[in-house]
Amino acid sequence: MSAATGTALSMRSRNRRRRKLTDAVASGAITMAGIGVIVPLVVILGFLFAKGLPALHLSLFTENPGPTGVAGGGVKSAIAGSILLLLLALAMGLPAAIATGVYLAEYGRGRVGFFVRFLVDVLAGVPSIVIGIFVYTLIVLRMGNYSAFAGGVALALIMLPIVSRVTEEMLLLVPQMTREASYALGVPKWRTILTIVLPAASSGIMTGIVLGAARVAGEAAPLLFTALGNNFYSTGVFRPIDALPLRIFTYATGPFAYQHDQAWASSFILVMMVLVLSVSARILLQRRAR
Amino acid sequence: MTVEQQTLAGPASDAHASADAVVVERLTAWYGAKAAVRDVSISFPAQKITAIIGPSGCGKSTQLRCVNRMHEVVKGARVEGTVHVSGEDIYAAGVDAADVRQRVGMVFQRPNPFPTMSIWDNTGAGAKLLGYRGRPLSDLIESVLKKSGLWDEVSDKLHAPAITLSGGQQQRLCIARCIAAQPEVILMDEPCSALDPASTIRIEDLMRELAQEFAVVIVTHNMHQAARVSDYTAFMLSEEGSGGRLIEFGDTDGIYMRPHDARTEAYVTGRFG
Repeated sequence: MSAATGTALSMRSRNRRRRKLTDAVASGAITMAGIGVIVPLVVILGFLFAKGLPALHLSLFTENPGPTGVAGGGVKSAIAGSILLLLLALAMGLPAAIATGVYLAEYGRGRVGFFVRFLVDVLAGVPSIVIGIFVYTLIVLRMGNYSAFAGGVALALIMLPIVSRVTEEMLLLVPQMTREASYALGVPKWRTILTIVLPAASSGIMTGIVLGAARVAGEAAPLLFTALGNNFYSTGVFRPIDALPLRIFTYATGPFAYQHDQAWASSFILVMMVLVLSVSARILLQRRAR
Repeated sequence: MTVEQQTLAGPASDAHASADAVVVERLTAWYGAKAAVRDVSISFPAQKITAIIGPSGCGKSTQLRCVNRMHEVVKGARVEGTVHVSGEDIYAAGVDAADVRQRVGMVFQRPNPFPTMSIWDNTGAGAKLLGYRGRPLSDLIESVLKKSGLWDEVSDKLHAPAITLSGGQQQRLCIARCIAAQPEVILMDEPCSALDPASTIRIEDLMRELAQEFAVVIVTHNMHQAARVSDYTAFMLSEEGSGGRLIEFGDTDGIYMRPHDARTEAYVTGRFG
């Protein structure tokens, strides 16, 4: 009797030791995987700081590109161009994207909704260069010239599926009882969506907008034959315009050392722009929530 | 007793309709192919509290939601029969559901203040969104918050988010929001089931005050609550999932002390449900 109990106990402690070992190995592996994911990001940021920071000069922000081969000059035209392209893309893309998201979440339950949702997903999977060609055919060829407008349309198309799907998901997170509270007061559905549901989902939607903006801010491919690029400072909506990703592409593949330095510095500026965008959006939202 | 015989006998007579805020006739409510309420005729008198009791799934909440057309919010839901509010058929062609809901307010099981709004904005939300005109909104908000017994607790933090209030306070806020929209009837769908006993007592006291002005209809699974607060009690039951039917309706004392139907007696004495 006592011997049998003793064996059972020793088996139990052996089992426990094995379980502890398995647990340690599993959590170790998961932790390593987690660290493995962060490594590329840290390396990229490390490179950016190491190569971009030394090349960063105030003149980059105040001067436009000089003649090729002549060191100096800056990327003011590209910074201004990127900001303008982003604003155009937001102005054209957001209303459509949010309206689509509202449709999918609040109305699109039937076959039409399913179809629209499917198409939005397909659009999200279209390579950005294909969107560039599409806009080139549709707008650049018709209007007869490359323009910031065409670039903005291309970026808006890329942003559209990202923002509309996030909007849909965030609206679906708003509890049904919040909608019912409004209906029960006699508030019509459209008004409930505008005044109750959208504000309740606003922080999530804002995150989606920042995500979409950050995604398109770094796009070069769709701008190659829409916005084209420009060696001169321009804010004309219907004229070719420079953009940071285009400038980085040109300089990184250029033959001169000063171009490589400016490409690194431009990359650094681009990443910082995206960072500032997302951090400020977050701060803004937190302040509103309080 | 007359109420019971009259409603079970069939359509209400015109003479009776004047005292009834809501008259339901031969109502069957569907979710897709399934009837949740079957062939119910019942009247809810003005300035009285009517309780609808019955076991889970007996259709009592659905019955309630048919009175302000909230039933149809669910996809595939539809209704047969008629519901008159102050003599007007709310399911008649051309009647807007939103207008009906403005006249028939509702308080839900879980407190549901608007999450992004302050106490002040919540209270005035209905009035504001519907284009309230008349006395200043601040007077209206103060008066409904006083009526709901919340004023003393929130008057110094009217612009704090409503979700910082306790559950019981939130529910009283929802009641204030409801009466600020100036309804004729107030429906309450198990308004205390998510609250602690002390908050429950406060809401019950509030119901009695509301009944001075409005017709109040409350759905509850708590028989003691129905016995405590209501003037009339309706017992509903869905047998073999055929859809909830009205088994018995009468003044509350009668239903609890001298039920006519054996099933009512079994339920109110706690033998099932």
